[in-house]
Amino acid sequence: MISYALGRVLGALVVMLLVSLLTFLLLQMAPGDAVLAIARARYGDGVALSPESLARIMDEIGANRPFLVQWGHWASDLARLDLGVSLIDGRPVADILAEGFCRTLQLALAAVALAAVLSIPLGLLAGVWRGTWFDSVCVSLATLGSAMPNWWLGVLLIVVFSVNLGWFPAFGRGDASHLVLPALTLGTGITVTTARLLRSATVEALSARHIAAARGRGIRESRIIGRHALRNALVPVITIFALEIAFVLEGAVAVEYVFGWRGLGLIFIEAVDARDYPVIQAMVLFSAILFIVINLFVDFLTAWLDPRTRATIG
Amino acid sequence: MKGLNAFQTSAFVVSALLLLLAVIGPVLAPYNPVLPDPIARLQSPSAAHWFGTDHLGRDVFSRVLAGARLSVGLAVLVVLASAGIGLCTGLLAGAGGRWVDAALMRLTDAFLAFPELIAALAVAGVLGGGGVEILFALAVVGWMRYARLVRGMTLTTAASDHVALARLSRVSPMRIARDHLTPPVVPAMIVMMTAHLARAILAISGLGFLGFGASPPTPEWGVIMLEARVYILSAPAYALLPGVPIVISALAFNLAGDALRDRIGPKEPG
Amino acid sequence: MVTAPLLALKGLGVSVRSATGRLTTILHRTSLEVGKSEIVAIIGPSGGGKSTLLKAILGIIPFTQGSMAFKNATIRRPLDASHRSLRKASEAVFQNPIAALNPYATLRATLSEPLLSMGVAPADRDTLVEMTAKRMGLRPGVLDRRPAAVSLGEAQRACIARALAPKPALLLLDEPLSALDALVAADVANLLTEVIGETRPTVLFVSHDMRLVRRLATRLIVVEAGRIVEDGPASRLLDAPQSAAARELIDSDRRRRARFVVEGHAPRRDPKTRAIV
Repeated sequence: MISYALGRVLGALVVMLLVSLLTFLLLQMAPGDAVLAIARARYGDGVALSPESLARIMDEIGANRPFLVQWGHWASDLARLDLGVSLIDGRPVADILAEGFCRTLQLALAAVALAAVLSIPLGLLAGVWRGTWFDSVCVSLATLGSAMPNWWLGVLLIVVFSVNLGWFPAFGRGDASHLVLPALTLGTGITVTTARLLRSATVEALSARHIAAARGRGIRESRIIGRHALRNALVPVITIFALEIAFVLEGAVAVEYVFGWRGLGLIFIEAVDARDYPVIQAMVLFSAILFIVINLFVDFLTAWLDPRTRATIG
Repeated sequence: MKGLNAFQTSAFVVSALLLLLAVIGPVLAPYNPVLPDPIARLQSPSAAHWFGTDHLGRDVFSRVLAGARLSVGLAVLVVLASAGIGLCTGLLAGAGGRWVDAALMRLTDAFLAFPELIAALAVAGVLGGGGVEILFALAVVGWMRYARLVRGMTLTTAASDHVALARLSRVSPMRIARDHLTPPVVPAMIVMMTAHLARAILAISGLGFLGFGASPPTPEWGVIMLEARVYILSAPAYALLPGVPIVISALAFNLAGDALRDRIGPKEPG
Repeated sequence: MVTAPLLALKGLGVSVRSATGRLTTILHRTSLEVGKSEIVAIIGPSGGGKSTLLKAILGIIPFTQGSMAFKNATIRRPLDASHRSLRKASEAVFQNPIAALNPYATLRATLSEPLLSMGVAPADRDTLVEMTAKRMGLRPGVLDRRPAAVSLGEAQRACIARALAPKPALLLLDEPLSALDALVAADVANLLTEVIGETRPTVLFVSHDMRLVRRLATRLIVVEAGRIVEDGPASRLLDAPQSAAARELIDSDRRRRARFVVEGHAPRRDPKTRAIV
């Protein structure tokens, strides 16, 4: 078990290193001179730039050093959680991200909670009542849901619930009612994936041999579902649910944009728009590392939950 | 096709029509999709203008038809480019020996760690919007699944007798890749490409909607929605209707992909 | 042997690491000298390392101990320059013709492969492929089919034709007849004997079929548990085997052949899965 865990952690660290290299490469892909871009962002377009100020910026970002040295400096700053400062307003990137993170977390928690409340009963019942009208409706909705970009769903919800019914506010942050539509939009994707998986896991669990045996012994159906089927179906569901959390940040980008919710997603879009490279890099890196960490966690969780893997890695 | 239900058949028909639309969409448009008409601004859907008119008085339906070229056409290119990169990486990893495999798979893991939309936004944003830049950004984030699929199947093929014999006969690596290693992965790749088309259309229109797609007068589904977004309160139909073709095409390609997978068999690992 | 051997194994050994990390030796340090145009049969119980020996010589399985020499050039590491020249001069036929043929290529394309990399001109290539295929008893139409559309016998004839067309100096055959039913096997054995008699390559072949061994081999090697346990002229060894393993093999082959005649049971291919049953 320990060697398995060590191997996985080591692998994740290697991937993180590569991820930081790729993120660093991103800046190098920027067309034109990065120094000029920074100077323009700082002093404004069209302003005559003195060679001294250009040299200062060059020195500042280490643009005259070899690529790998630059990366090394950048990565070691990162390791000390020094993410640099925004090119636009000079605030530390870490502060900007921390602020956005709190708002996105609020939205994400609401979305995940909503998804859990919706997907577990829907997926389970669709699986238990396979082939009924209820199942067909759930499957159709899930199929439709996975084809719907969340930003279009957001617009749809605003049109229906804000414009026509006037139940919830369409934009901005404020009391809890502001949270409903964006959380619903963000939660739909997670609901669809989880409910789909839970449905097929339930179908599979109910068709297993020991379930047939339990039926044969005359055990009540509700008890069979609760005691036998549900327990087996939950392992893959917990796994996929945790993995879906890794995608919440990605989903939040468009949702925050639609609803004007100033979290990480909207900050990111604004940064890309303004070519605020330190913020872009920090956000890209953060999302990737979050994904790696969640994956690592899910791997351990699966290994711990599944008696088969527990036996082989034990 | 034999063994398809009506639902799946219609998914294939719609998919085919969408691909056709990418070619002839602009020709079918009843009005000029880029010419403003100040008199006919923000009209509701009517017999003359099925999806209404936009803030510049342009026929939204015409813009949607013309937009298919970028939205669907570019998606096809994204899928082809991703599949190409993934195929080459997967073949190299699967047949190149242990160290090449380990290195390429770590690299694939690293690319996979970036959420698709965030990475695509960053790349497209840093490079500056435009067809080629979007194609590059989405291919960079889209090739990894193909690489994993191809690598898995190639590991098996590369260990087979016929490849060992071809190597013994000094058949060139390129020829072995083309004649021996690629044919077995083609069916599974087609399944994956069909489903990827749906994701690519969503991604392209998503980038457009977030402001990193085609530049405004050019019609593209996401860009049309971006322009309409401001009028969500005054002209809700205009804000919503351009998204319908996005949903329909994603749905059609998803269902077509599912149907193909059912026929070809679940060969996709993990 | 007066002249220098064509191929010499000097303490050649193969160890593999299993999934659990344990090191297993599947071929113990083996030494062997094979002269030009010698025809060596390798027999022995299943899993004894016969195929490993062939595959290590060919470089399909990397050897981990010892060295080889081919035409006096020492092969120190798998796939080094001298090993590549051995591979260049070699062709092989494996047990299962279905696995040995690219399922996506026509037999013609597969047969052309070795000639293509030798740089034979396209016109000569086609002539040579058709000639060799005909020589191995393949009907002309069969060449343009894929492996799934030909019989098991036709597939193995194609594999042998593929190996013979480039006229290799070294020919390695791994149970070339075991997938075929008795009648076809007899026919293929005849053709193989004829063609080998004409082109006179050096042959190493693994077989359970003592009739083929008796017809083809000039020398017999018995391999058991990863070691050569007996080595000598085929005629003497077949009649008076010294080792227990050789005796057992030769006797059981005789018994099996007798049963074949009585029950008429021959290996054949499942029509659906095309696996050998």
